[in-house]
Amino acid sequence: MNYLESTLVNELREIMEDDINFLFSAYIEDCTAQLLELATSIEQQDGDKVRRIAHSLKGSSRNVGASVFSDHCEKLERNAREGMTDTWISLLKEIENCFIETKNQIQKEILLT
Amino acid sequence: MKILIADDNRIERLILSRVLEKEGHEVIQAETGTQAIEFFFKHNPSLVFLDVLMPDLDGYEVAQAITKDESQRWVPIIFLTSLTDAHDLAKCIDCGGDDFVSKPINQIIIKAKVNAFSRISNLYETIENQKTEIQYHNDHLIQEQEAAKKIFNNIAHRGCLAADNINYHLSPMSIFNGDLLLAAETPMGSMRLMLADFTGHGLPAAIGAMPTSEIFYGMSNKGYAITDVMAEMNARLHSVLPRGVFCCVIVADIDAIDERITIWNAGSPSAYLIDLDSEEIEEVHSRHLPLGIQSPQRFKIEPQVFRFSKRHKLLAVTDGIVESENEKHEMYGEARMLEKVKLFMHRDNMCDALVDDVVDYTNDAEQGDDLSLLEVTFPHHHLKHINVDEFESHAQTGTLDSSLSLCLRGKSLGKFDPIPMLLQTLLECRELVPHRSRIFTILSELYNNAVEHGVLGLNSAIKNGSEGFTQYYQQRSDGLAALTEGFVKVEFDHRPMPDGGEIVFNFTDSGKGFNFKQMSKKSDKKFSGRGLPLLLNLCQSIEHFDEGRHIRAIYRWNVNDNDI
Repeated sequence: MNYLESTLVNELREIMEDDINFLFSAYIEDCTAQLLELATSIEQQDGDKVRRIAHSLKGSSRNVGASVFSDHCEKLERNAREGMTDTWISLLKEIENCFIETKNQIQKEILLT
Repeated sequence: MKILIADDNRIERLILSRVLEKEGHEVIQAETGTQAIEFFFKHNPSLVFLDVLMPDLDGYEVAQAITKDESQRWVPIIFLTSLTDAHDLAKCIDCGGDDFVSKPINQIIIKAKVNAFSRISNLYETIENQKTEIQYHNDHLIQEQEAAKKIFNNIAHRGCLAADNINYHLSPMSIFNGDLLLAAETPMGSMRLMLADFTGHGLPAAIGAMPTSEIFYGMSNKGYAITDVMAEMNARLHSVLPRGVFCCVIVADIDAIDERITIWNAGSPSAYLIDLDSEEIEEVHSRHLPLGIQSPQRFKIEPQVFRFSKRHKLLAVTDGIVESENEKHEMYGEARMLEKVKLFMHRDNMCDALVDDVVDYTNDAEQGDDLSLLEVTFPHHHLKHINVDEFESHAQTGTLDSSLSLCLRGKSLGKFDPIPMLLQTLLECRELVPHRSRIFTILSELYNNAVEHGVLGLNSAIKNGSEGFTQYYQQRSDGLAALTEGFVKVEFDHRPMPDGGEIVFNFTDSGKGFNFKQMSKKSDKKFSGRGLPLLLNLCQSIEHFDEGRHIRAIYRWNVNDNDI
């Protein structure tokens, strides 16, 4: 499965030029931290926080072309808004897995590590 | 441009700022709503990108905070939103945003919007600059107007407007609506008044007033008659004023000793000559085009002469009164004014009464303010009053030791008034300036005698009847116009004496002569108004020769005659 939209990535290459690596490294960094926060919020059943973090993850992922990951986050955001707390944990699992895959692709195609 | 980005997401900030920086803009990044507000006021950006969802204050609140102060310049706000609901999007605009961009960030759209707002911002700035410039010029203009007003008042309103027998009302904005009121005393002690109304408004009208008042005061001071002053004024205005600009005038000369008023109305509303005893009102209509229209060659002035004594009043107005309108746009009108003149004629101050009535009628104090009127009663005559113009400068002694002879024959006799020239020549002798009135009187009396009773052979007894006055002056003016033969010769011989000087006047005319002895016995005014008695009073001696055709008058003056 393709976790990165190539048109968007190419546009970003154009915009960021040599700093494309920095952008994606920062992205991975931010997501990693936010995922930890997300896990805690779900544990605490803090619906508001869950919603906010999911929304933020969704946003930045869309910006870098990680659309599959972004879609998952959107689902969680919606569920959090509608208060369907019981689905959160399973959605989190999906999100975490998706992130691993996305990260791999980023590392292979962009960061070249 | 300097652009502020407010977004809590580092990745978004990074991408957006890079897009903008590549376009050459300077970017300031804020991570929270509070920081966004702080940076806005600190750095004064020209454009703001605002993320809607931020942890502390959301985008809407930030937008409201920074647009609260309307007095500061306009800064466009573009919301960054992933919201798609129409209500949410509309809310962006409602709370002070100017546009929104949806995420993910599309650099083409961002660039296009930034350019569009940049254009609008420039336009706005241009307008602000122009507004400042206009304000500056406006202030400057007002300052200049104030200065112009002061100069105008100094030039146009010197003279004797403060005299007891004059009431007037002059619009404070007269400099800008072209109204002019002038009053001067001639060397002979006559009071000369002029109420003028220049067409047009503003500075062009005011500028026309400058040469007009110079001519008025300059020539009146030197003793020129109304006819000469008006001819000169017309010539000057004709050459100076642009087409379509002219000057409506009423000018009047009041001779207190002869008890007569000479009036000329050119284009103004009728002046009212009021007899307070009989309550009759003589309307003096305009019989001539306003000044500045006709070329000097075609200009002809025929003033009217009326009796004017303590029982008379003159009222002159500009067209402001008649044309004043009430709320229904009905004009005040001539009929109403005549009615009010009849009603107010015995008041001490008719001007005020009329102005108040107009204000009542129009229910508009401002219109009332804009009126110009003149009310004159009989003046106190003082030969003694000298209106010495400080700006005249003559060398000392000048013509102290000199003689002059001028002979005016037939065709020139009616056309040229030699008195001002003779007077000026004599007055080149500075020491004679305090004697100006007396010398003028002597010259004037002798000359008029020679012309009217000598050459023209007029009978001044005619002047007594009520019709007689007008008749006499009509005869005089007809007579002068028809003259082809005859002459008046005027000579003066000025010689210095140890304590001053002596002027010998010799006046000769081609008339039939008169009985000097008989005339000098009569002490009344019936002869030539002032008559020989006055001359005898002023001169050291008066002799007659050649059956009265030649008169010699001698005037002695003393350097110490300060208090004449």
